[in-house]
Amino acid sequence: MKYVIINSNEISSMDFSQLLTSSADTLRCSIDETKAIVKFKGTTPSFLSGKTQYNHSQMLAMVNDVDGEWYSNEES
Amino acid sequence: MVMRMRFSASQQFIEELCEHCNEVVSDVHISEITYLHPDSDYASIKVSTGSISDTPSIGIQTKTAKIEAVKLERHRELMLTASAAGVTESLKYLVRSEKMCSSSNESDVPEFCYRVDNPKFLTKTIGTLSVSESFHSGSVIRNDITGGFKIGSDRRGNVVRIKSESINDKIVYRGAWRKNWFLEIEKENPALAKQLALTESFHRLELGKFLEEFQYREGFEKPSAIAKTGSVYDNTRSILFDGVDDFIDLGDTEDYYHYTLSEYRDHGVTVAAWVYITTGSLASGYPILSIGRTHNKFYGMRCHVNPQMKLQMDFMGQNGEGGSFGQTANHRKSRVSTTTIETDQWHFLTWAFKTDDEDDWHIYHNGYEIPSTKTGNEECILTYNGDSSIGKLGKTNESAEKFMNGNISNLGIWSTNVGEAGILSIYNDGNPLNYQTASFKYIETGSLVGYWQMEEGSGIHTANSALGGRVSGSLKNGAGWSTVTQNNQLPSPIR
Repeated sequence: MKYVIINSNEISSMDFSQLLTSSADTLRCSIDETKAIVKFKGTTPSFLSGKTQYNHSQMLAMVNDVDGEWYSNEES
Repeated sequence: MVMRMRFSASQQFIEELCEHCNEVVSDVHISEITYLHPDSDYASIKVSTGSISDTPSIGIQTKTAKIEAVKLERHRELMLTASAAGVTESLKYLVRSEKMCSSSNESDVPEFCYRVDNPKFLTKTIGTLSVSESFHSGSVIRNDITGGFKIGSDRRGNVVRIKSESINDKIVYRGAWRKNWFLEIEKENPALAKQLALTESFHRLELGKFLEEFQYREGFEKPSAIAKTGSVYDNTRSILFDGVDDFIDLGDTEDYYHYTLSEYRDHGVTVAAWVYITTGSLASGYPILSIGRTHNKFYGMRCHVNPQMKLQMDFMGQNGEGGSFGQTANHRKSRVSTTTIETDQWHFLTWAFKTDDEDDWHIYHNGYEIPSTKTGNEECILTYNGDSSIGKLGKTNESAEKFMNGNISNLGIWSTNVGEAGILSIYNDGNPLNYQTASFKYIETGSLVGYWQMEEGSGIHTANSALGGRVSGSLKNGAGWSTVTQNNQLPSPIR
């Protein structure tokens, strides 16, 4: 499984039938909502070609970085 | 035991003599003699030991009353306050403890000797060991080295397995008898169960394990009549969550699981699931079930494992009557376990809301309640707002969302407080149980209102076996089927 970070303005160009990500409604977005995570298995979809791909452990580390752009405290 | 009768003008006594020096140790209370009567299983005879001029009275005491009477007597003699383990077993198993005179150990400290005098018992051998006629506390330990069993005699003098004993006010359980797999065998074939209890530990001694630690799959065969029961099934699938964005969408569950506070008070709610958390602790924790929340603020009911690997259960909503909504500790009331669970192994987790009061909430791990404390705002009023899900909290802003990292299987919701005995039966020694089938002390199948077994193995839906199939779960963002289950991975043994 490969993960790719896209810009929010690219969401509309995603073909979710080629992705494991279910839909635009279930995308995980960054805190500032300028980025989103999509994922796929197998051949890289053409609309994601050229973008940096991450494996599972890399992605997990990224979204659990408490100082990063994907994490916020649940309780404030 | 050496005893003799002694008579005085107005009373008669039974004296106990030291077996070593024949000195009088103490008077034997008549209750101890009647307690030993082989036919008095449920009642015992009380004989007056008063003045001869008194009219002798004979009455029936209940078993409990008799035990209490003997206990009181033993307390007076310090026999229950001695530090040596196993002293109290004399009360239950006729392995009689005898007080020896001070000359035997040349001190004023009471010393006790354990004696078994029933022939059935004395002829019993366990492997290369035989039970001696008289043994001191050190020998009691020796009696236990064959691996997990300890024997005594019942009130009829038959050889029995000692299943538990009270040591320092704590009940210590011995052997496999408490295991459901053993109970199943015992139910179908008592003789086989007895044989297992008396022999198997010894035969398996070289494995360095106690009988209670074995599972069916380690060589114990169920009797053929129950080789396959409805309560034990092959759990071959679970659902794997990647911790990034996988979850199961249960949709709008307002008509089914949005219980009101009065409904929580009336019947309670229990949630249970088999959970496997993958190594690599997430700062965000591990959501298991979230009911009625699609909002960044705190709403709904949830059961989860928090970032500290503690089990937690929450009501979320309004900060008291007329209060605000938000995402602070004031907007939830919670119960949190004080102990943690390990990663990379299956756990059977249960959250029981006996009422709406967090003082009545209980958290269970592998069938047993674990200590917990309440946190948050006890005035918080449960308020639902949105859909329900498995494996995520349920926020609208996905950036602040938290996702499960690991596997979930057999998630159930009951519209009742199942209770510890039922939960322990569902745990079933780590063998997966079909929640739809009653088993031992689990009888609350009629209250099962949500049951996602997660056995489909393919597709993007997991069916709800309760509610006539309503509230099917939709696997989102690639939440995948896994063949890792509690069925093919040994759970950690419970001591």
